[in-house]
Amino acid sequence: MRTAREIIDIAVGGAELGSDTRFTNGRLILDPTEVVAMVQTDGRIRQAEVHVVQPGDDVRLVHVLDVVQPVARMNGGNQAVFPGILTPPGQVGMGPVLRMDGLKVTVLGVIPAVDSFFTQQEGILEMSHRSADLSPLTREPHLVLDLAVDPDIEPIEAAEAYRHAALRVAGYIGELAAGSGRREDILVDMAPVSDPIPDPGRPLRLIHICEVSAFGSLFDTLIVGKSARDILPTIVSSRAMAGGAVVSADYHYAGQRNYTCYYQSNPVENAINSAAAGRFEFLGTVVLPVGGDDTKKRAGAAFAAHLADLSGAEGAVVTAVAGGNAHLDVMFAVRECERRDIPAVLSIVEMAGPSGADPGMVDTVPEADLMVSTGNREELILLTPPGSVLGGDHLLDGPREESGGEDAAGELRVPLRTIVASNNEMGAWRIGATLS
Amino acid sequence: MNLAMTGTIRVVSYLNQFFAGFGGEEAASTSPHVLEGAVGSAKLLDQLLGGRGHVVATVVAGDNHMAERPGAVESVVGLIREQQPDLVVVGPAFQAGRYGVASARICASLQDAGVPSVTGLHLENPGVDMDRSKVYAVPTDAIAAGMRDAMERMVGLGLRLATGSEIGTAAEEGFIPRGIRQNVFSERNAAERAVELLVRKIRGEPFETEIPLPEYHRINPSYLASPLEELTLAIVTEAGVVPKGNPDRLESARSRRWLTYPHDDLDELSSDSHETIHGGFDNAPICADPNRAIPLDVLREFERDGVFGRLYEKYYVTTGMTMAIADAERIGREIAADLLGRQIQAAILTST
Repeated sequence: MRTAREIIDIAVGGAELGSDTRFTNGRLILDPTEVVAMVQTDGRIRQAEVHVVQPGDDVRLVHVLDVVQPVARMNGGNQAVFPGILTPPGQVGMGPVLRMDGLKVTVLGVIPAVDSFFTQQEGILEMSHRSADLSPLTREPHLVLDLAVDPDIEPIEAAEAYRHAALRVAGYIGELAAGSGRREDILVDMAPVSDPIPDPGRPLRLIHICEVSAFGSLFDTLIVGKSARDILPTIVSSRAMAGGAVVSADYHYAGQRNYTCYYQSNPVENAINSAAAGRFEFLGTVVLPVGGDDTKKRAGAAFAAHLADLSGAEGAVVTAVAGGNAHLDVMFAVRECERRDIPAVLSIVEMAGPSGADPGMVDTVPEADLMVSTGNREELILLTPPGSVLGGDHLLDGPREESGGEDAAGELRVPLRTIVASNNEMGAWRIGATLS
Repeated sequence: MNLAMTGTIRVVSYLNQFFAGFGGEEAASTSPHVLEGAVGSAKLLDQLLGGRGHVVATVVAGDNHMAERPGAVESVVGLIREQQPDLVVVGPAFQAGRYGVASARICASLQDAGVPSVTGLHLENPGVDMDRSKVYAVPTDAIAAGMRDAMERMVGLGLRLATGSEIGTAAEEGFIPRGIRQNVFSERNAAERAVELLVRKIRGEPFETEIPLPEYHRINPSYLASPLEELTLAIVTEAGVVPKGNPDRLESARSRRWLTYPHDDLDELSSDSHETIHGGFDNAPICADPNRAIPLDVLREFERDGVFGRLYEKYYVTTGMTMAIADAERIGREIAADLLGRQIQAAILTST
């Protein structure tokens, strides 16, 4: 029997800027000067603006770096969120987590390129027009941090400054909720809960093998604050994930990034939990960093499947990140699961070209006989001019883009992968490709 | 304007000699020509169109003529376009091989010209794999007993094409999948779909993947034209290795071109003189030692030792990241033609 609910979701009924800061009756009011002051305690942040954008607002966000869910710890360790980054790593996964549902903290900014490979890719989010349907992240308000860093600092420093600002504000808002008049309600929620009504048969034990970016520099993931590069796969509990044990440091294609909010509120786990109460048991998330060469890809895949096997998994949802060679790791992971008699499904983006006529993956394995598509990322999308723009005046230039530097307020023709979370391979959205 | 509503759709039918009523194999060399109105099986087409359009002409050609004569497809398409059709109904060809291939090629050529067209093919007809991405073909029976059913399907899809209706997926519209991946919105997100499909798989229930495993062409390497020690060798790479500073601005992704750079005065490449601009991997190791992608150092040794005859004075380069297949095939053909034109008999291809 579990003794307490591990993750407590608090619904946020609305958010707006005001002259003071409080969370009352499910509504968040924020004093922007307070948020700006908090962000600028980091001397690397030179400019900061705070906005709240609502679903349906005629606004286009550009240079989207990350999207974070406000979160707080509940058992006395008040600041123990995002372990290894904002708090000591030793507290990872300890105690229940309060997670705010219905509000995101979104950070906009520009990171200087490290080199021709490690360059920030443009990320666009539109809250209205037809393009709002292209992203799952347009259904709730965003507290937008529009930031600029000291132009003289190194790219990795810049990325860290933006990331810390977003995480700090997300933790701060979480604490507001945790310390609000609604705490009694929360404590009621924390009362012991019994197991779900058991099925006549034992619940199916399912696991999530989640590939994460680990190329290094600007295409990375932080696990308890450490780069995922060159580490073996590891299994992380739902509670630790919700508390921010895994954080995005990935600024590659915006459509398929795993934003921090999806580690905190995992679409795969949500799908398993909502499928039917008691039918499934979610064992946890095996984090699978992309391997830098063939040996690392095969070793990582094998070890991820090994962890699934040790956990007693009877089925695995494998999700990719990025495209190209990163698809090999998940193909190998599917193969390794099937070799261990763990049936697997793969969620993956397709790179089928603007016309949709090209093969969507660089290679496959025969064991990948069950795949779910998160869409053809290369389809060209027309965006009509918005009423206003936040984040910058021009789109990012990048050697990987066909063009760059376009007027951010103008009509844009961009690949779908430019739209934030449109092709997210953790399965957050409803876009998929089918044969025509 | 909705052409179907006005009843002014001009339809041209293309038939082989048999379905036009000219005869069997004895008429298979019939050269392309135009007949006014509906002829042969095109009469059924005209009937099925009802008031929505009419067959203004029937273009006929023999199967052998289409299979054997260079330029036959272009000739037929020219005759068809002279009729200024709003829709071209080609066949159906059922399982007839020559007829099916000609039908698919005619439809592909019309598609390139922006003329709506539809054909009907049995799934095992070799025409199904001809220019697949450009051809709308409905599945048919193997033999002409299925003529009415095939014609009805072709008319249904053809009218939607002619009137500019938004065409749905192959499953929705009932045509043979063209291998085009089309984005659609599902009722549920990908994670929910994945869990449902996984449970079916675990329970041994039927399941259907959303992405069929792609089939890749297998290219068998050619035999050497002469002994290795006698031939000239070239280096060809998609690794994006260029002289430092990338003077010709070779793209780091989605490139549509190839370049050559001289290395005849070098024994090896160095990080001072060359770099890679490939954007698909951490390219620092190649930038540190470009010989990892252009193995000039080792090939010079082999050349001195007489392992092969001579190393060509330039290397060929493009960037392989997210390159469209059509561009990759074209670049491959162009580089191969250039190599042959320079009497280069072999190449080492390095990939990333």
